Amino acid sequence: MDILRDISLNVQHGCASKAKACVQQALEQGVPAREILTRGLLDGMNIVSEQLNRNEIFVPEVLIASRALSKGMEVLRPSLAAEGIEEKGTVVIGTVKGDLHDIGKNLVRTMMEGKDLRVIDLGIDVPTEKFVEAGMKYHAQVIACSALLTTTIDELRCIVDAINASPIRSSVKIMVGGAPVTQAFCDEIGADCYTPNAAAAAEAALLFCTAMQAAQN
Amino acid sequence: MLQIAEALELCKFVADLTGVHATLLDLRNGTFACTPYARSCQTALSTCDAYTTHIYNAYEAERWSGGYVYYCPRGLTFIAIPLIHDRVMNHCMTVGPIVMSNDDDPYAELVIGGELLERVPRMSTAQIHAFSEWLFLTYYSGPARGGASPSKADTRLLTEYFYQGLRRDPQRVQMERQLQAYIRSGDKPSAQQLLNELLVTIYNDVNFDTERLKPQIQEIFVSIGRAAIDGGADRETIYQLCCSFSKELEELSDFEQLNHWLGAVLHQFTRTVFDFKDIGRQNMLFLIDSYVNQHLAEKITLNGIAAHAYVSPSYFCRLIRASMGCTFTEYLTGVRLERAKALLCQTAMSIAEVALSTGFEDQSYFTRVFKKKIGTSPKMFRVNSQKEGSAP
Repeated sequence: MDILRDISLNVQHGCASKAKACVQQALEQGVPAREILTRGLLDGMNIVSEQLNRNEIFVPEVLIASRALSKGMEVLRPSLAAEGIEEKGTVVIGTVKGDLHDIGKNLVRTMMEGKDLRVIDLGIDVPTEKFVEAGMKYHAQVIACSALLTTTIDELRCIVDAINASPIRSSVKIMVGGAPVTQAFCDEIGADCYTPNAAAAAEAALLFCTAMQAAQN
Repeated sequence: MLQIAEALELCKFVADLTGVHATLLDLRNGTFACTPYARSCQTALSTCDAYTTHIYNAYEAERWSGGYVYYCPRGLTFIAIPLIHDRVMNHCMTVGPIVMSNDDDPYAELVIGGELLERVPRMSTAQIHAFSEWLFLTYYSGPARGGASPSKADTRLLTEYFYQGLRRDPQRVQMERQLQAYIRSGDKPSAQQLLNELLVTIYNDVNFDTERLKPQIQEIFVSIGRAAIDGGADRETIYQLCCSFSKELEELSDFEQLNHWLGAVLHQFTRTVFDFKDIGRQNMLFLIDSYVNQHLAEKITLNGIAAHAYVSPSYFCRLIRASMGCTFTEYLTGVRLERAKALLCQTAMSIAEVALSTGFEDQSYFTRVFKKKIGTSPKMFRVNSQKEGSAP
């Protein structure tokens, strides 16, 4: 459908007002809100995320794409709520203590929300115990932590250790990410999953949530 | 030229901005134009008169045409910035005291001359150096500037740079250095990835504030540009790009607009830096070739020719090896011998004249090198080429 392609393109090019207008237009044409989200807004953001991953675009372009996406979401949100989407799981997400970076984390959050996951965003500079507390409080299936600095990467180890020592370890998966994080580091600290980009993180979180919920039922 | 009222205002501005005391020496009246940090101090040996100390160093600063860092007899650091009008230093800004300390221990060296100096600002050597540079660039009006004061825009920009310099975390410095290394070596994927990481850090540092973001972006362009030129990109192209980006950037006031613009210019910039690098390289090889040919009779040094091509000697050597498959000396000898061969064949110049006009110190050295590389002596080469030329 052309209008969905337009929405995706406007997100990719960071044209917030056009993205918003196209979402409105699609709704008026009777396109289901879910479809506008996945095949329009998130499709655009997915492409941006992949381009960023391949270093084909720069951070300012990701920022304007995110803004276009959120402008589109403003229009779409009431219709999405009206369609009554069933949440597929809960993820607690945050940037570790001492780290104030949230561009990547916000991107992951958006992608996860696009997968119908309930995301509890703890923000930036989050102390270890907050991750554990939120995991318990919201009965999360996934705790996702990001660290962008080599100086804060060790906080991820502290979080894994704290979750390991808590009663929720058997009911939660720990995901880690951020520029200095690697699969080897993930294995070393005993986290459950490392993903190199936002789209892969959302995909992995969805798989964990579905698997864990299936196991609980 | 700065008026006294303006100069006093600048002192206040420096003090408010940096927390370091700033005073003004009035040389015509032989006094302080505003309250000094102290008028006199008791040292172990005698009483030190502040005006005498500072005036001596003000003249030193004038002599060296710039910002001058000095110690007072109590071991405290000051910076002198002469304010010159019609070649005469009427005033001098004196900034200090500062406790110079590179120690991480917050209590180290706070006691000087038996007195606790906890209220005196502390700076590392690098910070004091940056501070004096900033003061010099921002406030110095003297011969180096033609007596002109900097514009308000310059002042604002330099102030931003100064603050960033003081606050910059070592990790970011490391990132910038690594980025420059990637650019110099032409590693585009790594450079783009690191540039993105650096941008994330910068956005966070300035808390997504457009006005604070602008000078940082400007600095990134300068930093990338320098590395690109060092790596062989065309100097003029990069300079013009930086200038036009700087003007465009100044016009932007909206965060959204800024990001749209920045995304586009970063693509343009990286294309110029990486994709068109070969064009710059070709230009540089042409420059080198014409320089060598014009100066063949003279002594050509590696440093001299690298400076002529606007590159570092080490990069120059790499470029020669990559482009010509030999060292600089081998390349130079090759060019000299080719010219010598042409002169031997086409002119009646003596062997000694050929040697001198192709940059060899004397005939015997020329003959030795010629024989080694060409396989025959210059004289025999000439005879053989004449034979070949006269052969039917």
